[in-house]
Amino acid sequence: MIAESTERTLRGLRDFFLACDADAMRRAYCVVAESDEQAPVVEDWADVEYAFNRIFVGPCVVSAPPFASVYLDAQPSLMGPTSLEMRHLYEAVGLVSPWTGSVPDDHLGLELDAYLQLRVALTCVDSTALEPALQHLTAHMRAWLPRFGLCVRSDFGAPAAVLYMVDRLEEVILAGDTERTR
Amino acid sequence: MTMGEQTDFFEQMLAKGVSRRGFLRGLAAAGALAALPGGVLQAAQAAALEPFGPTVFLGKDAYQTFRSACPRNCYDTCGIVSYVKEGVLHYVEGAPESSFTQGGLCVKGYSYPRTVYSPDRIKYPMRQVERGSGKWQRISWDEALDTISRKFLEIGDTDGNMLGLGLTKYSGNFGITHYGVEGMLASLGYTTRFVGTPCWPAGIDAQSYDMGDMWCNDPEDMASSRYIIIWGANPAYCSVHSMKYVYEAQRRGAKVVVIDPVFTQTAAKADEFWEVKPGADGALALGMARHLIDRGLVDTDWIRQNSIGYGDFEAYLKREVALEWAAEQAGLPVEAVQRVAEEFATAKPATIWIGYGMQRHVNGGQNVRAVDALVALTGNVGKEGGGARYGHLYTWGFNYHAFSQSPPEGSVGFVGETGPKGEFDPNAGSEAQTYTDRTFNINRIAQEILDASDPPVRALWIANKNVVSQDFDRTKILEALAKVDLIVTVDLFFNQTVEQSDIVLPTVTPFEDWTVNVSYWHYWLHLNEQAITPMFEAKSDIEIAAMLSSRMNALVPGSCTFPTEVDPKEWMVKEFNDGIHSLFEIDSWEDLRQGSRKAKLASPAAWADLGFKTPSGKYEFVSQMAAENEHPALPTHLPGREPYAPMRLLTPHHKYGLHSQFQNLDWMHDYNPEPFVYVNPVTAKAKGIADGDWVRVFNKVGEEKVRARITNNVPADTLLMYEAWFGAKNAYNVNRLVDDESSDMGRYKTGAPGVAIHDQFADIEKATA
Repeated sequence: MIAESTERTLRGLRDFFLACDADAMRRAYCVVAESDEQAPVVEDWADVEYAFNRIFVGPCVVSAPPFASVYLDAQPSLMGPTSLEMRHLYEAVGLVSPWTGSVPDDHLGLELDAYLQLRVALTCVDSTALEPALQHLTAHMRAWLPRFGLCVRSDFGAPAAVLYMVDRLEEVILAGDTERTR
Repeated sequence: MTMGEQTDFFEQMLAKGVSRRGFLRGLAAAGALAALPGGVLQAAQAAALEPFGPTVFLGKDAYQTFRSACPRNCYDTCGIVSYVKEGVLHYVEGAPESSFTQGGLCVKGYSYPRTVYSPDRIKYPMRQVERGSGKWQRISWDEALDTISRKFLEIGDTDGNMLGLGLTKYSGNFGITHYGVEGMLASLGYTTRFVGTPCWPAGIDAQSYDMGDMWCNDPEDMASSRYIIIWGANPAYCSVHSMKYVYEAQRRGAKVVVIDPVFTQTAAKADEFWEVKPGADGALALGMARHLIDRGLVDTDWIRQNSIGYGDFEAYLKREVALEWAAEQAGLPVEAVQRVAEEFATAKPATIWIGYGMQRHVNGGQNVRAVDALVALTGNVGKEGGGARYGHLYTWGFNYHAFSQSPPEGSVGFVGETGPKGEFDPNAGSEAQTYTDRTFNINRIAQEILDASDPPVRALWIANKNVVSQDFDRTKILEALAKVDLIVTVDLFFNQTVEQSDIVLPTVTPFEDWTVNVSYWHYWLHLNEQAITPMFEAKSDIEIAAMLSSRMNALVPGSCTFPTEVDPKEWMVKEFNDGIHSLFEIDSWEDLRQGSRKAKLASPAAWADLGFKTPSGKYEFVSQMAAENEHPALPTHLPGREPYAPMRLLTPHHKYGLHSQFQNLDWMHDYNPEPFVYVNPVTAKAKGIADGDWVRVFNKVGEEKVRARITNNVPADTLLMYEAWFGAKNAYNVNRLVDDESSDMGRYKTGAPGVAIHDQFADIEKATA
């Protein structure tokens, strides 16, 4: 099972970490924070955008690169074994990144998309076929997201909105199995 | 397909008892997974669900190989074989067929995969909301080029010409197609060009006065030298592949002498090391020459047959130069100078490797002319294993198609005297035109921008160059850049120039691009094939030029002549011509896919036929051309710069970086984790400085705070700081301490004098972190 709220949260998180500008960040944030009265109120999305780029995109040395290989591979590099592992996982379930070869396949946004698609697919069909892929992807994300979260939280200038999204990211990935077995 | 239809589809698939793999393929065929939640990932043919695990090395045969070349500003310019699997560059190695590269790379070359796949790479076009603020927004290529185009058009509208647009570009990528940056500027009109070179211009002029051109022996022939003086160069750091020829010469019995102000890694390999006083190289060479004359050890036959002006030179030496004086100037024992001079003169073939360091002085050109003269009067010019080795451009005869673009019809430009636009300018010496670009000294970029008027520099395009880190007098540079309305930087990493830019555009690594490379030292030609898809949104220089042209012409048709579409591979092919084919004995560029090729040389020796390119056709101890350019006609002693602080400050190259490239990589930081100032123990004791202490190095230009390393490798009156280092903190900059004082030569062949990088002075004191 995947609750509608979880699906919505996953979609919002995916779009947030793939966002190119303040407006896309705001829209994605609103999807995740909808009906959450505790969610931080953002005064200026431009400030979030500057911080988001400083932490995740660049052009400076980023605090928390949103790529699994940086945290899981022996060398903190892009397009490492972990990136290819994710590419193979997507291929195994019939998916391909629109940015193959240019954006590493283990970008957080892509992994969230794969996770979301697999979760939804498994609500449509009682199949064990997709289970290994989802289990592997879940274990994989659980391995690197805590380290990623630590890097984000170590950035003392990280805005509350970004921290909120990282909190929700960890919640939804960690809670995934619990929800599915309900 | 609706959600209900999808469910039916899955059930039908399962009812048919399809295999797991078939089921997955079925999902893919229907686009089901991608369709369900509105995904980013798209439907594709499903692959077998292989066990997930780490990637393992599968042997070389499992990889696609590509030919690559290191295009950085380096003697060695290595041919590279790149190993690619699944579109990912896994590792690199030196081209095995090149007798120079011999299958090996330097530490920087081996780190290339880290450059390509660094999480710190600049990934997208970005705009800084307020320069230096760190407030960056990601923008599309279209938006970036629209902003830039509108500013360029505004410049044309405001000034009636494009001289308000400046270009500063140098050696970050010497791939031949990267001269398309100059081509892009030319296609916009007559613009302002920062010309010359911070690297080697005084020496180029010096050798041109002496021999008519800069031309060096094949470095591989050093193995046959009987005596090698490496003077002001540190190949153990900066040309590691050359060292094997030095070692081979030693193995065969040659003596190797290193002359340098610093006890370098090269010096550690030498048979004899002389710690010369900086800038006294010319005096020392003249003193050695005087001694050889006194001992009758000059090669009179060679001199008589192949030179002019020797009599004047000899008379000058006998009149003005004493051995004792020269030794004192150089800070060396007279006996040692006598002995080495005699050994050098009697050990034919003998050679001197003239490093670029010795010409980075106010008397740098004269230093090189004096050393050239020492090699010439011993009859070692034109000899295999001999020669006054400095550099060459012998193999650079490409078409420069990317470079050669025309301004839009009706363009108005600068009217007045102009010269070559750098040492690689293929149009140098061509006929004067009605209008030209406005040329400013690349080594005085700050002052030139500050002084520019009618029009001022309103926009600056920076490519293949880290101006704020590498150019001189950083404080003044920041002041100058503040005058410029728009600064666009094309780069790989967030360096100090990007930090001061309004727009940054991501560029490609060599592995994501097509080009062709040659060296200014060895004689090999390397193909650089595109091996992988460019990461993120990186573009090559010529792709950027084409996109800019497209936008410019969309806004104002005819405003830019650069083609609006380019194929980097086709443009690489356009650089080849019959001369290159013949020189390298190839039928087409495609032959280079089998490996790098070496130029067909009549002799490994430069000037082997002793037909010099001087006006007289001889080696010119007396150069009328030098006199016409307001230099002494003879290689004479020219005093060094008067010190303006207690200690000499030297800022040479580091092993783990090439100018400001490479040393930001994590692998480099493992070995070179922070910048230091290197201080002699005597000085350290006098100043109360212990190893690892934070110190302040300061002079009239500015100050830099770093930690100290105490070492006997530097003299007591000298401070050494390597030229660049950067990482996340991105703060170190030796050019807070280096001013833009010119060297004596450089204007003749490169359009602007060099810069006296090593004629700098500073003081030091203990500081707090």
